[in-house]
Amino acid sequence: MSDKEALKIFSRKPVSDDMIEFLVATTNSTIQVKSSSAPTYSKVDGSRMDVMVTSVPRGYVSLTTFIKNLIKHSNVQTPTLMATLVYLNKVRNILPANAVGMETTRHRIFLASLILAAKSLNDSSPLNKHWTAYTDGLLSNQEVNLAERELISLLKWDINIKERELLVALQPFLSVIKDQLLAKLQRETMEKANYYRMSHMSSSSSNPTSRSSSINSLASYSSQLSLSNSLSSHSLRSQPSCHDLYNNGVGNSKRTPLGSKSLNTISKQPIRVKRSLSSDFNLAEAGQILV
Amino acid sequence: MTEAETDTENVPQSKYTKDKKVGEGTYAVVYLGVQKHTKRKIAIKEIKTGLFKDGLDMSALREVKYLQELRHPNVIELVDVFGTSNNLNLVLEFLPCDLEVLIKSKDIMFLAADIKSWLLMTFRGLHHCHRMSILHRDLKPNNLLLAPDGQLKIADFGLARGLGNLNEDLSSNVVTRWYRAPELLFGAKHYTAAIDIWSVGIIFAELMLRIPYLPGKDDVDQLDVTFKALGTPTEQIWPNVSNLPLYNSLRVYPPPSRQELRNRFIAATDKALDLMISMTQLDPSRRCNTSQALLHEYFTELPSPTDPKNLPKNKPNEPTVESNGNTTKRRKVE
Repeated sequence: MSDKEALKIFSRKPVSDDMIEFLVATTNSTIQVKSSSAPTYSKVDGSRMDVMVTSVPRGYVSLTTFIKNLIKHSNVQTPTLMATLVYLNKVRNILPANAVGMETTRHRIFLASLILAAKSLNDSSPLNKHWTAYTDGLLSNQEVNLAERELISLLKWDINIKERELLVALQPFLSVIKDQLLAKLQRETMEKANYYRMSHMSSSSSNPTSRSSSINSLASYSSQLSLSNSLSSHSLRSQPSCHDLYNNGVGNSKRTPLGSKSLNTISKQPIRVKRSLSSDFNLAEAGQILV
Repeated sequence: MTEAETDTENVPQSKYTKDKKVGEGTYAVVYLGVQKHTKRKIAIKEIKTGLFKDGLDMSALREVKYLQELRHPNVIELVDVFGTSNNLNLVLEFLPCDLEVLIKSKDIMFLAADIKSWLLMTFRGLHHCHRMSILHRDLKPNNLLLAPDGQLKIADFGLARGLGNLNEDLSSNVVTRWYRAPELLFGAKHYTAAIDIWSVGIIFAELMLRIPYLPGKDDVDQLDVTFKALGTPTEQIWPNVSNLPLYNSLRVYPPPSRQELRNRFIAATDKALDLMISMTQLDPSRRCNTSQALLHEYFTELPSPTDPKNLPKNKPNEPTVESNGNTTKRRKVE
């Protein structure tokens, strides 16, 4: 359940409202704009308000609507938007913090990043004249071309995308996916364990060597988990309810001497987990699905 | 414009000279030049439609993106990229020759060890691409360039693409016809790095034959030529092949026997034939990958591959350069 796997899972998801919201927020963070749209003008005195209202270009739509329409018209999928996010992050890092744009600057930055991502990733990318049409009259073909050119020169042609950059850009989404996967894994492990508890309850103890090896793999896996989840502050240890279940299921068994001994030397996990795992049931299967 | 504005240090094009035009097509013009501060010879590929009309050219964009990512002794080096008013310029390492020119130079003899050396370098470069999940999608002798020190470099990444999401449709209209794998001829929307392996297999054959192996006259003829040489794919040897979009009313040819292939490639050893057969499997899932190819016994049996610096070269008075041939026709990714 590495970051890489989470990325892969995310890339296959349809474009969500959360993703659009995130794109809007990221685009907004690239640059300040001179004035924002209508509602905030209400308290400005009449004469100045006129000036501001006329400065809003014809066909102006909010960034959210703009992005939604672009995605709808062009039918771009999640992977292209992931690359777009990376370019937006690059732009934010390049532009000075005190840079100020005009009303449509953010729109242009987003569109240029999207075009760059679509052209370099997809075999059938819209042409710039199509992209122009998708802006619903906000930008001319010339302006779209110019925005694209300015983006590429801002990036100094550094259009390569590294896995690290994707991980940074998409961290909020990835940690959710990883949490979900982790919960699912734990549920499945528990179910397996319970299943074996049922099927082995009456049978005599299983082969001790296979038991210790399966515990070994399980223990090393859980330490891996806590490492890979340091970012999302999510690990087996922080799931007491799960451990309680384990203990309810298996902890009251007293037949533990062999297993617990071997585990103390193997695992660095809290005693509680070890005890629950070291009980007398064959966890080989459970270990296998984890490794 | 004042002196201050023409500050040469900050203008990229002033770092290079464009000395001699060596190739021109509808898509690009190639110049020879020199990187001023290093005196290094370079080639400048000026993409005509690079920056206007439809914005940045898609092939150019991909070429830049993938060459930035792929740094390898057997992949052409992208030295720099800059835009002028209307043009986009890729500054590439200078490579004076390509395999197509050598294949056509009938007065140059190829030893078995020479062919092995070129094939080995091709696979090294391609292995690097595939390891980075990049498909070249236009391998042919004309895109395998040769450096003055004999190193072979894979060039022209204008059709390349990253292999990402499996649900995405890929264009089957890629690769120059003679080197196009059967799944592409059948219009497959999903394919793998095996299409590049096929191309290299056909190039391998061409290096031995010294003429194109499967020269189809058009797309329909390409199917016929391909299957006449290698047998018509059936459901038995390639499960689900009949579901591909363009699979219909094929003439059924039997697969060639081992003896037939031996006669076709008289100079090839058994190991060489084994490798070629494994690269030109009709079913893409049966084709070898670059790792398997690099570990193939063909490369370890004698004769050892020729040291690149001792490989045949074309005559110095006939310089060719990257894109000399393929600038004439612009391919499109649809």
